[in-house]
Amino acid sequence: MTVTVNSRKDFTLENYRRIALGRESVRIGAEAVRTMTRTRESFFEMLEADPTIFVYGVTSGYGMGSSKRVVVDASQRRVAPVGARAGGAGFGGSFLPERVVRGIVFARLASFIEGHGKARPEVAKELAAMLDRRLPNIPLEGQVWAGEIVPLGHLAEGFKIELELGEGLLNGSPCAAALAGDIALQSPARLALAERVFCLSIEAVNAPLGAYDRDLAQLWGDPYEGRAIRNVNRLLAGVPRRNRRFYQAPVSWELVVRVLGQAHRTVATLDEVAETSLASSTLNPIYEPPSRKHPHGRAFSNGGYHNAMASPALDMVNASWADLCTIANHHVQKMRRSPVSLLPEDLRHPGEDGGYGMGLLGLGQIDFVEEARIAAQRTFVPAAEGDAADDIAEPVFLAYKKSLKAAHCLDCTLAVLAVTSSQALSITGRQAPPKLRGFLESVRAHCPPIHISGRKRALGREMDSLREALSSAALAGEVDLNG
Amino acid sequence: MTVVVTDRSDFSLDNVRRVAFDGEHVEFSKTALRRMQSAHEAFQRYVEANRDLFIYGVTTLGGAEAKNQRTPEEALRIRRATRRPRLSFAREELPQHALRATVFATLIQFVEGNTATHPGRAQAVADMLKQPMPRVPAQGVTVPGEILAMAHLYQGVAQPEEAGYQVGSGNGSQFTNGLSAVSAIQSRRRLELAARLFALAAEAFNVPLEEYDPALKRFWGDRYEAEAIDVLNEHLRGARRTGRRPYEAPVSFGVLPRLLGQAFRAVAALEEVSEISLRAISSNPSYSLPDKRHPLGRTFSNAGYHNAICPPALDNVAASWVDLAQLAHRYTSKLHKGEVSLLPDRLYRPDEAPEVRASTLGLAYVPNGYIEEMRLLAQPSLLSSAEPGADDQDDMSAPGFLAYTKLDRVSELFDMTLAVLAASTSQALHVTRRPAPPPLRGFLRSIRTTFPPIVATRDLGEDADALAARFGQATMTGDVALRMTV
Repeated sequence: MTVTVNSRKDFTLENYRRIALGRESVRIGAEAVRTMTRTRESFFEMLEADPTIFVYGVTSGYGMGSSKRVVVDASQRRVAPVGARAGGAGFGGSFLPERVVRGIVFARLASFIEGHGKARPEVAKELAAMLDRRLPNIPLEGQVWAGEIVPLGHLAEGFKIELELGEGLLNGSPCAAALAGDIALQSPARLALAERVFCLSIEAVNAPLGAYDRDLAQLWGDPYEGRAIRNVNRLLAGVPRRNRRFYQAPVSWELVVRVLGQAHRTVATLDEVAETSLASSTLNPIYEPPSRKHPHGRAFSNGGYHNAMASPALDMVNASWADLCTIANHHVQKMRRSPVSLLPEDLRHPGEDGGYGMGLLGLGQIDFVEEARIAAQRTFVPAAEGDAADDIAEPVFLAYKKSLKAAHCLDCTLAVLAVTSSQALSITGRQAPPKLRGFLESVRAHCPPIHISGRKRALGREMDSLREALSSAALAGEVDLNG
Repeated sequence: MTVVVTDRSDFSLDNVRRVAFDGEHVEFSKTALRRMQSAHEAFQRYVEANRDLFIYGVTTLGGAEAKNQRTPEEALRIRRATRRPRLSFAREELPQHALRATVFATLIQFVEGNTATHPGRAQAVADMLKQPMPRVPAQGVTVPGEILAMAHLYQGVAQPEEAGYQVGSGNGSQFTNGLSAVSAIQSRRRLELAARLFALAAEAFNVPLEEYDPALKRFWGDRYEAEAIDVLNEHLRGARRTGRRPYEAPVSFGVLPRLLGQAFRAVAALEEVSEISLRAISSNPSYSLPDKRHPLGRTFSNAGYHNAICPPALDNVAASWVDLAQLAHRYTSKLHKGEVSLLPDRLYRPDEAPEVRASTLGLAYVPNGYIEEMRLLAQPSLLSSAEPGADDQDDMSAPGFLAYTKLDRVSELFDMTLAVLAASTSQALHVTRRPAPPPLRGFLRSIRTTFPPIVATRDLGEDADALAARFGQATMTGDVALRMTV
């Protein structure tokens, strides 16, 4: 399959998913080709009409050299722009996943498709063609500078045609759009998986259902908390309403629905930010096609190269994941303690005495919680100054690296909570809620209930297998685990 | 003036403004009083009919005692005989306007009968707004829910003799709701003030105006960045279009509409969650009024005491202040760097001899510590991993107080950083003998009444401090254009 793009309206998160994860190709539509051809011509008409005009990177140098005027002959269109052959300079040993590099290529096209990049259609076609061959590696580290010229320099290494006067690939913020898009695509499924695991935990501890009463949606009045309440009720439908714990469950079980609601809010915000960013035209300078007021169009400098909303949106999702990790850890520890959970001490099966009821499972989970908290630290505009002109760096790579870590930590803690809940249901001879029986079976396919007197097992490997299943499902946008 | 409340829709940010900042009182309407009386009576019948049911705080005591079922009479007797002690202490107190907002936010728990509170008790709480607020420590109050702080705020409120059972009125998230509401109001004002200053700085730097061109709204497609672009253009209306810097300003000026846009997004999000929270019934348990299915009503325990949406929104605003402070400091430094700004180097007047020349140069170093402190404070107020105390039941603290006090301090430091930018900007315009853009002339004049341009060496710290205090005061009064005389 191929995604055809004609305007910025085609730069949606759904199309991003098709290209980045579905590995589909991109075709530059006929309308876009016409628009780009026309605007390229009008750009040169503008230069010919006023050769003294300031156009960053065309009639001036770049960065610190922007005060230097460059005399251009608009008729010499095949002159390569300064610095067009510069490759990337990031390094550090790790690289962006290929899906994200594909996403960057896609996001890059948005600035060209309506002619704002003053580039030939061949430039857009070559970008699209890159998706059909091996893409350059883009290091995950060493990319934080004003704008995104460092990572885009790596992308340009795979670009096979020569750029001409006025054309450039390195300015703008397509990386921020792609990094936000990558996490935005994974997050709804990850949150849905979290809801499933927490509902298993709610059932495992026999929590009174009043804390998730549907009326709370109206009493609290928050649409995202309302969504979490509806989801929890849907997943818990059909559970026994009698013989539950007669008094309140610990606070961490009551408030989980509110924290899930906040997670829905942060995921929705990231989704919105990613959609907006993908469809943005962020080149600097940007070329505005001719209008009545500007018959030759105009090119002007702007801060398109700095996406200021992607990092905060990623950070906020990271903070939600960290909070869910903390709650998951409380649930695991509380379930093991009989006086609190009212479950058998240490989640032992009847007749099994001594040692840890679940082996050492869950004892190391604090690591994931603390790592998640570190990953949730805020990503500010860096205090470090690049140079006198490039004096504010875009921090999105910093935020994205933390997003990968926070998501990993959540998957790990969810795996532990899922197995702990499975154990609690197993030792008390109870079933999962009807809607979660298949899910519990999948969990148990990776890590069956634990009998300390049973066969010797490598629980860490089983848990890692479950963690991997959760991560893969989130990435694929699915809520069913591969057992 | 008095704010009259009838139902949940009266709990708006605008009414918080009237009560918290303008000092207005609050009364319940006759409709509300009748409804509360009716709910209170219905709840007495509900308790009588469900004596053996678990009703948190009515047929049990609170916290770890919840597992011990008691008769309603016994639970009520114990609760009346025991005073909830004031336990917290700190060197800082929550400010009066924040406490007034908290009291206002408490009234929603009563107004539609969801705590079955006796109307006499409800009015007694409302009447607190006619007096100075009691002292409530700003720290040492972070626990599951908000009960520690409530003991400080409400201990003096009398319980009417005739009041019977009520449910959850002392357990909710009123503080977080109130603190977020005042923060939302002040943050909007602070952002409006900051936008004026940033526009003034852009003018002082002679930034090419195309960097804020309205056409960018279409290219970027984000409504908050569009709002920032509109605001900048409004403040720069009438600014000279010729004789400006002939090439791009440093990146820090180019990114202004985008970082300002993110701040608009953050403030709008805080306003949204604050409005939602103000109108939320957040008592635990909550009492749902009688209906066909439940003729006596019903109660259910829930996490109303834990507001999960305001702390992240407060954090997000704090982070925006950090980013804007970083920008402000960059501008301050760059204004003094002649080779970059193309202004007189170090903002000295070119014709002045070295022994008499003076400028804001030294002042530009001052915000370094402020910003570093801001960066530390603006980290997210995550749920603590700690067990809060000996009680396994109450195992997770609400981070509302932390988020509020951090934002409060970050805001103060932001004002101080902005004061330095204001002084430097004023100086840049002064030494180049240029006026402010027409919409900002009064604003600049007002800045100069507190921090006059420097013509000879003088101590600058006190003037800058006074200017920062004025900025802070403007967020209390709403006078963000600094029209009021000092």
